[in-house]
Amino acid sequence: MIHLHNLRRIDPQHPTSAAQVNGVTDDIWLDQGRIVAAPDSPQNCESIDLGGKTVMAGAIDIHSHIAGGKMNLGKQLMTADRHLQKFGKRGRLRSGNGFATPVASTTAYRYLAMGYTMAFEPAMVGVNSRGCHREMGDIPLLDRGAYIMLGNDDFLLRLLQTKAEQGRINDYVGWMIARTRAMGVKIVNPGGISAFKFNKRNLGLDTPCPHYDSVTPRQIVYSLCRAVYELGLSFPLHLHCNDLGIPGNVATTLATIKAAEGYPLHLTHLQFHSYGAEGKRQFSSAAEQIAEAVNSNPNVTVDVGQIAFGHTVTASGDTMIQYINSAHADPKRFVCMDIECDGGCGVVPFRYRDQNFVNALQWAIGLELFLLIKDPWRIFLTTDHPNGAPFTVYPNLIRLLMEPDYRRQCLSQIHPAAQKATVLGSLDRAYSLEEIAILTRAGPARILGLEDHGSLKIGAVADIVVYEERPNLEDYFALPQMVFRRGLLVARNGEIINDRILPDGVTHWIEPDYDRSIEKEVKAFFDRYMAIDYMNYGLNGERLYGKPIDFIRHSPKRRIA
Amino acid sequence: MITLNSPATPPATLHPDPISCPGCGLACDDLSWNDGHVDSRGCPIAADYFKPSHAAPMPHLFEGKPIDLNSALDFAASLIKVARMPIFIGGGCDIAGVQSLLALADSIGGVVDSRSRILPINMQVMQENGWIATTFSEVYNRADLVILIGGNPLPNWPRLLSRLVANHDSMFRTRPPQVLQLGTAIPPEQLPQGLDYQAITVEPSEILNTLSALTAHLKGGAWREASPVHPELLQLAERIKSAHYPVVIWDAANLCPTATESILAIDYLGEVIRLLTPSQRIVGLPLSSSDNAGGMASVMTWQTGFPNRLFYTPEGPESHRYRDQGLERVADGDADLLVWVSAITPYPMPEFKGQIIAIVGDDYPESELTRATVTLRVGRIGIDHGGEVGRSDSVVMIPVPAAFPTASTTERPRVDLVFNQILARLERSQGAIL
Ligand code: SF4
Repeated sequence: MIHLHNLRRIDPQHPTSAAQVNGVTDDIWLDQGRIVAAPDSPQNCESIDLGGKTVMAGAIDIHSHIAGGKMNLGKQLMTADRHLQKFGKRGRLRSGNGFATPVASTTAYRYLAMGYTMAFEPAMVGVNSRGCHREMGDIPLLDRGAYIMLGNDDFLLRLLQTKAEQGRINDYVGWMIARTRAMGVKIVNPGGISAFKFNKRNLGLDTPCPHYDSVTPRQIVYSLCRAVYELGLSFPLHLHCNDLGIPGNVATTLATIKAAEGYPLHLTHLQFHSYGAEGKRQFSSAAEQIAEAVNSNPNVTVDVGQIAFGHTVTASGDTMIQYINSAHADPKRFVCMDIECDGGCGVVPFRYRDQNFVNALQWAIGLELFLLIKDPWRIFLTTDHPNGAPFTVYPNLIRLLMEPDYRRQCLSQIHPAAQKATVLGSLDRAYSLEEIAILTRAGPARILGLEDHGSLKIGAVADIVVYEERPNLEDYFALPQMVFRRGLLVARNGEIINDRILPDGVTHWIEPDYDRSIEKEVKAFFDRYMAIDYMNYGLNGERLYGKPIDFIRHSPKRRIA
Repeated sequence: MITLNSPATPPATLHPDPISCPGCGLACDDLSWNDGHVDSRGCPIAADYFKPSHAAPMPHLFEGKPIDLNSALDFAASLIKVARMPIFIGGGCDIAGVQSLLALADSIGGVVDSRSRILPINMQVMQENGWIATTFSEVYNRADLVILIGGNPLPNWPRLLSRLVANHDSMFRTRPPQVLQLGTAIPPEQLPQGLDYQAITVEPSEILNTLSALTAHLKGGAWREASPVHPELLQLAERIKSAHYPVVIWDAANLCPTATESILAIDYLGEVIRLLTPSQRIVGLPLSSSDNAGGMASVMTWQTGFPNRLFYTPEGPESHRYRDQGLERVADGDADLLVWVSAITPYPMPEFKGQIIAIVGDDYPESELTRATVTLRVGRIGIDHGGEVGRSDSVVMIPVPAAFPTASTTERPRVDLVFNQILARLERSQGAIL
């Protein structure tokens, strides 16, 4: 048992602690991986006096490309990245490398060092789910999960084309979630990845999909929003809208919000979907319009996909858009793949430059969204790692949100025309520590339905971060003094403990209830059209061989008939 | 004593259906039981792989003499412990085997590489220039023209055409695509019946020039004038332009006379695809690896960032394209221990002056093993135990259930358990906290 005492608790999910209300210091007791009530007579207890330091729950990244085939391609394309931040095996820690594309061990060590104890891969291709889970299984320490990518898979498009009932769509989505052991459902460019396979280079929200002429992206969005809701998943449909990165895409994004018809909808990396086409350069910020729409639609949640200046790789399921982006590849190489009548991927190395007007304005647009969207429970802190920037820039991003003066100072250094094209300089909002805790742990845990995470309540998983005063807020968030994962101290002042065996991470997934008769239909489809057998697709429990993966299965809280 | 039952291995059913084949990178998972044997669907490699064997398990060996498993593991661990420069050569095992191999190699240092000659060729082109590629089910459903480059791919990839190209039932095409080969014609008796096939004969030594000319033609302008092409090639270019989803397939082992020329040839193919993609779809399908070298490349990439030719140094993983080629280093003689994993296809061991630990299946010829100091006879995936392999199109991992599962816990162990046990012994001997 560990007793942390003399601490300042920041726990927005459970702000009722008397100590917190009164602003005095507090205690937390950890035992067997959980936060427990104060024991009557503590025995074998290690007592740690935190001297009034701030304590929060472990942070959770709801959208970070930590695994999967496209990230492997990213690692292979980013040859220079292999020489960055390289380290050899130390004690119990594996060797590793990578700045924008950290390898499995490095991903975990960096997240843990920053106080993140959980991250979710947002674009798992069904046919790649076994590989994706194997890769996540090699990420030590970090809890994780993945969202299954749907909305361009031919089975679904055929269901929609033949006007299948919503219940049938729900059953198929339920089967896919269960078979691939996913934690949520994602759409990338609804219909667009499929359309690109038919040589279409753009697809409007109401344009019929090639080959599936009675299906539009709007229908795909609506039917999957509904499916996710009716299956009872806590996490709404996770949507990467059509027209990512295209000037003027604000119209598509606003129309997409309407397409959900009030069903819960999560718009991911919203920054890339908040562009106008105004001005001399025909590229402008539409953050105010988008923020207004988010503020007035309570069914909508978002994550930002903030960019940071520097080198990275963009890796996405969106082949249609990534092929367009390949013109800007830096260095000049890219991979695009059509994948198994299931999805696609495009991997393009890229450098965001502060003296490039478009990049500079992208940076400002992301911050505008953070500052203009009012409800911190409906916005999440992401860089769409590594697409906007590696997740290691989070501490800097938090500083930008909390310190208006620092933000203005950074603003004054970007492309001058971009400075004029943004309202960022006029925004005085400063996020509080409490709001940062909502953005980075309480909010993500709540939206993912992870009741035992993101909070310091009694009974919660003992993922705990102790922050120490540092010269600036960036260091404060980059180098927490202590990080406990499941009650075990795993990092101290940015260094992972390496002298003892550290536990493996755990993979979370959700098993919805669905009508099993859909499996016959899916099997018939596989038998006719797929070069992989139905039995071998995803993670069929009868066919899992090799290194055990520690899975935690969740159940939806409700099922709507 | 150790227990060799993997907790993750589900109870074996006697006759899994369907059966998957790890015999080449196509990883066909549509084989089935028929009258007491595996129906290999006409594939000679699969027929050989799954031929029933009723022989008693072969013994583990130390210097040629049978020993029990624990002693073999002890000897292997002691050899690895004192090795100055070990070289691990795989795949030859499943994904779990590769994961454990890398954990061990990361602990002790040394070089890890696959035997594949073609994987590094494709990988070099992809890493330097990228590509636009596709996967098997897309070919199956969309390809309306297949262009094969180089020699006859069927000896190495027996069901390439019969399984992926000659299918009649498909979502987006009404009949199997035409197959055009630029290279050495496939003998007619090897072709699937009724396949619309034509060859433009090009000698291996001329493949590179031909692709260079085709690229210049597609670039147009001065390039085209400087490099006039043969009328047959012109027709090919026009045919490609009129197709909706042409797929260019190559086997890097069967392309040009040398690896360097093959790299350049694949570069040209990538360029051809990139030149045409602004106005139409066209994709590549590199036939990338057998022996689960592709699965090995995936695991190596996510664990180290390097798909092959990996050197675990005290400062971290490194890879030098020319210095860290596993087989070349074996030949150079700067290594003192070779760990040879070959439990899928029995590849002969290379010449080597140092000690050898052979981790091989029961089908591995005894005569070869006289050169090994320690031999561990492991199970073969798909035969003795289940496993997972990477398919050649790099995105798909195929489960391979055991067709003839063995019940013994000490004979034919899994490769991952062998490496885990060796690592545990090393850690114990170093006094690490376990
Ligand atoms: S083609 Fe390859 S994978 Fe398919 S059955 Fe033959 S050897 Fe096995």
